Amino acid sequence: MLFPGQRVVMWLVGAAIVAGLVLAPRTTLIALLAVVSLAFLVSVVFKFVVCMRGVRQENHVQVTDEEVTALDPADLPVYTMLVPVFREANIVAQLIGNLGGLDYPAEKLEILLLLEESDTETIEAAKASNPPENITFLIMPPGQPQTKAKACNVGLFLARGEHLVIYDAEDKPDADQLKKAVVAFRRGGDRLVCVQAALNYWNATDNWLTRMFTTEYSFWFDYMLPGLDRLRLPIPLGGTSNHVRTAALRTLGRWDRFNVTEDADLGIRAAALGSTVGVVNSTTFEEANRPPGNRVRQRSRWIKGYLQTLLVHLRHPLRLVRTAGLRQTLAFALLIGGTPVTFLFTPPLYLLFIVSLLLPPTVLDGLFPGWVLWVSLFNLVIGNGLMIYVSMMMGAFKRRRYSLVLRALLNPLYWILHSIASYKAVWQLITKPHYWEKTLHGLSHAAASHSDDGRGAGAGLRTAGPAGASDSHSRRRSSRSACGRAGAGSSPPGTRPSSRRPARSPAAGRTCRGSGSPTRLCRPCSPGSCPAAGSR
Amino acid sequence: MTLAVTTDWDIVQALHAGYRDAVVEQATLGLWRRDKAQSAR
Repeated sequence: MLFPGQRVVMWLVGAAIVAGLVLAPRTTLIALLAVVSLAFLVSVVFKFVVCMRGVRQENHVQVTDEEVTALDPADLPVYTMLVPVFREANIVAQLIGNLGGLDYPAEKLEILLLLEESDTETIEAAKASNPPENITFLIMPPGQPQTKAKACNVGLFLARGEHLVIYDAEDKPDADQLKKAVVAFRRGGDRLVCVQAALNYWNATDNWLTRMFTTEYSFWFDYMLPGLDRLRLPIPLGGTSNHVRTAALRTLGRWDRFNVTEDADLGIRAAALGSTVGVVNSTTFEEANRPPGNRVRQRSRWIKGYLQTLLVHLRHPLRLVRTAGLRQTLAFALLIGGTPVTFLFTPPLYLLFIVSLLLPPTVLDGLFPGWVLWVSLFNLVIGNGLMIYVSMMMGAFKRRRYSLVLRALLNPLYWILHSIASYKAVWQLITKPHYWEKTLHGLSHAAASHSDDGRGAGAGLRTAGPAGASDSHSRRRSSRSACGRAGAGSSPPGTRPSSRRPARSPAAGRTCRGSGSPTRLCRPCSPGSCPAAGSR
Repeated sequence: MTLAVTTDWDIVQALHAGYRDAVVEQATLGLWRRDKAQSAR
């Protein structure tokens, strides 16, 4: 993955550190601690400044309910929704129900459910879920790699929408999210190629970990990303609920299937090529990880992906500065590089602090210059304090999850998990750079009723209600679709009864691929052996 | 003599089957083939 120039630089830096530790250990240690402490300081200050900018953005609702209501359904563009699912048999029916609750004309909504041919369990569960007419099952052929990016690229090839969005299997988007994205795109002009919706969790109170995760996500999506948007800095997209202009995505080169955070990479690539990425005030609710192991796996993939993104875009740093600008490049380096670096150096700095408590003060004074120790102390007290503060006061308060406020004090312990994940990420970057750590979903015991969904009034999220729950229009539409599906799954495999012929859609002016139109991206199969036949 | 009716649906299915390998190849290696410096491969 490393280009020759990068390889040389890394070897030189590594050799210099080793040589320094051998020839002049004290000076080298001082230099290392100074560099790490300053990097830590700059990264924390950068995040705090961006976050504060996001706070100022709080009262500015990007897309109002009035603008959404004013949209003429006849003028809405065709929207494609890509939903990659893999080993999600336990939640795929719920997913299909959630998608049916979106407030968007059904004839203009193309939903591509991206399934893997080897994953027969999920395919069967999806078939049994009685999907609405506008959902098409797209079966990926067997063979490696089985990654989300590859599946999404196949979906992109077939997508017919002017706009496109990705949702994960466990997602519950706000009902009016697509309409808000349409307004955002119209307002943002042609340079705006992508808008990211906020992500949050519906099972925040499951356990300690889900609570910490929720405060972190609220901080990131409610303040960091709006702050980056306000400052016109590169925005690393989240893994879901990113809405894109389909044509622009094809021009940008699609998702990189070798990057394990392909969405973050896309956001940075868009910025590097002169396009802009924005945010929209709508939320998608996901399931927070309960088990620590699952959490570490997921986080290690994210950190590995950030490191991949950093290495990729720094292959030609001068070119990046020329195309994106110095300010954007520095912000990219601080955000995408600073995040893993701070996690990597947290344990050594904690260790140093503990050692300093055990040793007499004169020992450390003799080892390190005073200013280095002061910077380290500043990072420990003020830096950690600022990050705890933004998690407490912002992540918890904005979503009116007041019970999480005091728990944010436990962030230093939570960050240890991130550090473990970051070391795992570095190891995998070397040994298995393209390996995708699968995150398990459907483990929450919480009812999917949004009883604690954090829809704070101050968040500007006064939507039609929880997706699939209270929007009467959507309910009617979903119900109608379901009726149209009656009996569709009962045909013999390998046959296509006449009732499954696609209906002509007058509004869209094209053939609908609804429940009666299975779409398989695989070789023609014989009757009786086709896993997709009869699926829609 | 056999009369057959072809619909949009049939054409789409035929394209998917016929161009399967090309689509999957493009989905996997598209960015890398276009610009190696942009891909994490």
